[in-house]
Amino acid sequence: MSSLPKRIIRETERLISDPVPGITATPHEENLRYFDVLLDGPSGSPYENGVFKLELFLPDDYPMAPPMVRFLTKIYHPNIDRLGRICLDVLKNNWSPALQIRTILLSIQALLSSPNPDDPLANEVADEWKNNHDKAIQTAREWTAQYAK
Amino acid sequence: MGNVPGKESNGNNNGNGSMSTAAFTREFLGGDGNLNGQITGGLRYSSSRKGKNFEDPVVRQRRKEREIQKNKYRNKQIMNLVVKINENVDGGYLAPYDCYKYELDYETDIVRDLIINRELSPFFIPLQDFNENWTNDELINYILNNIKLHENIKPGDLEDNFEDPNEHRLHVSASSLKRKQIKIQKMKMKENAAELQNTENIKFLKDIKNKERDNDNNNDNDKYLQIPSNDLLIKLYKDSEECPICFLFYPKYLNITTCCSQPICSECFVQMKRLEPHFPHDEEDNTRDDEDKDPNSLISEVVKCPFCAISSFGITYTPPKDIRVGIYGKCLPGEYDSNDSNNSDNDDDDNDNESNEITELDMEDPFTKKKIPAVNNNSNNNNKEKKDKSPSIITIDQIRPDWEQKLLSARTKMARRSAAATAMHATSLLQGHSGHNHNTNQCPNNNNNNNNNFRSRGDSNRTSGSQLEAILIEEAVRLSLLDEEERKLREREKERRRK
Repeated sequence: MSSLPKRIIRETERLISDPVPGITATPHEENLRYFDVLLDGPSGSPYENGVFKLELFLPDDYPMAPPMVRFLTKIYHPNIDRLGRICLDVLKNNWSPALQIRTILLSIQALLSSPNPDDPLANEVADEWKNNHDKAIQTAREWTAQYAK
Repeated sequence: MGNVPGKESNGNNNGNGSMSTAAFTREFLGGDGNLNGQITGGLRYSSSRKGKNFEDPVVRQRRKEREIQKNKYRNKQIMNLVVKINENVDGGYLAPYDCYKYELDYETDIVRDLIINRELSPFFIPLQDFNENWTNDELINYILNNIKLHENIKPGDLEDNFEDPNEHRLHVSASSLKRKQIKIQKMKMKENAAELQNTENIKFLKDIKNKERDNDNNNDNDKYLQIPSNDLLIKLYKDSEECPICFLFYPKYLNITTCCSQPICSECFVQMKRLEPHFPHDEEDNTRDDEDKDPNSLISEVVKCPFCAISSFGITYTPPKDIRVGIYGKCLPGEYDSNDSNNSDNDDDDNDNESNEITELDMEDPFTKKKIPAVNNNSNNNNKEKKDKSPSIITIDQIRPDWEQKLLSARTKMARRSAAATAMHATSLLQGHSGHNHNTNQCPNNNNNNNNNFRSRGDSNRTSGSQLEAILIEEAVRLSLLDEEERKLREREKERRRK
């Protein structure tokens, strides 16, 4: 693999020297494009007090192509499926090279605060979210307590 | 044998996958119209669609010529990504610092012209580090010890990671063989380009070192006129600016977005492109296969501004007034002297004298003889015209004009795929799978939806041979229309290039 672009080095330095509250991203030693991410569930959401593990990978053409991000911790959310894949516009068509690892992780945190059941990835969860809201929130809370420790 | 109608569906459209409509109908409907026999005998059209029987010598000749043209184009595109010491404009160059494996696919001729005409910021050599508190000596010291003409190319960098899954088949298709051949040719071109780049890099570094040494010895420096003078380097890099996308430091003469006035270096700009053609997100329907959707609803969206996401994204470039060196310039980068107003663009009356001066200079210096004088004569007219104009807006579509063709071929490919799926379906139907009866009553009137209708399930009507025949003919007509459309567009494209 060719040497790491300046941009990735700078982003990594900034993530470590000036971390975002509630988010840590640590690169793997053997592959500096691969990050372990820990994300705090936002307060006021059913994911509060949970710590979620994610993996983040910067493809060869980053920042022209978006980073690939996936939840490793099981989570009950209409826009996140069983494999941890995330349905978020800025990770797909609305990616912009001016966005960064930091901003993308903040967007994911915001998605936890405001799920969008009208554009679902996990259809059953979305149905539950729309038709039986209280129960859905309850399940999300239970899953958070059980898995996101 | 060839019973794989979807096999052309990998990410390559090099234009040779087109199925002739004649072949399609002949194979399907047979000479005697005995549809049943033909189809249950096996789907043979896919194996013989490029069969030699249908190809007359004229077509073959034309195809060969087209292949040669394409190869020439590929080679030109790759060679244009080589940064050359002599091809410089206002201290920057005509090719990017990092070639990204020579896979960059913007229209290199257009970008070169834009840079030469000072409508796009030249590809400056980026600095990895910069401190605004550096003194001029520290700055020069850092630059001279760190700049390279081009990022080093390591042997492994040229490999492309795309692997054709069809290569591993027992029976390799003709198009797959061709793709492999193109890949090998491309690899050779890339190796040539990399070799040339390495030679230029070495010369650049050597000249920088020698120039410094000769400077100390007070020798005359005419040998190194293409190497930027220290004055020019200081002038350029004194107030370097960070490109917000690649985080590298560039001279402050960057492109500026028209919508939100953000800087963006040319290197990042030429990498931006439209996404592959896709279906609109609102209508995305997970319950349907892509093959069931109408190919004409595929869209290609313009590149949005990376900073403010507005869809009318474009940039302008205002060239520095007081630096005018290199191609169409008033002197060479080695001659730039910050105290000499002759280097700058301030004084119009100077133009005539200037060009004389350069011609004289060329007599002495064989290095510059070839390039500069030829372009210099018409540059004055050019400059005068340009001067009154406000800077023109450059868009991504301008440097990548092929998006329309890409969209069209994506649509055609999609249509072919769904036609193949329809055909497959027809076969299984005639072979008499019970419980798979389909409603084809409303079929061939509606071009766009006939696959969908045809493939919808749950009606007890039995399909008759004649109905199927009608669908297949309809399908064939549609394909030939699409083919024709594509051909026309290609021709128009060629016409445009010729101009």
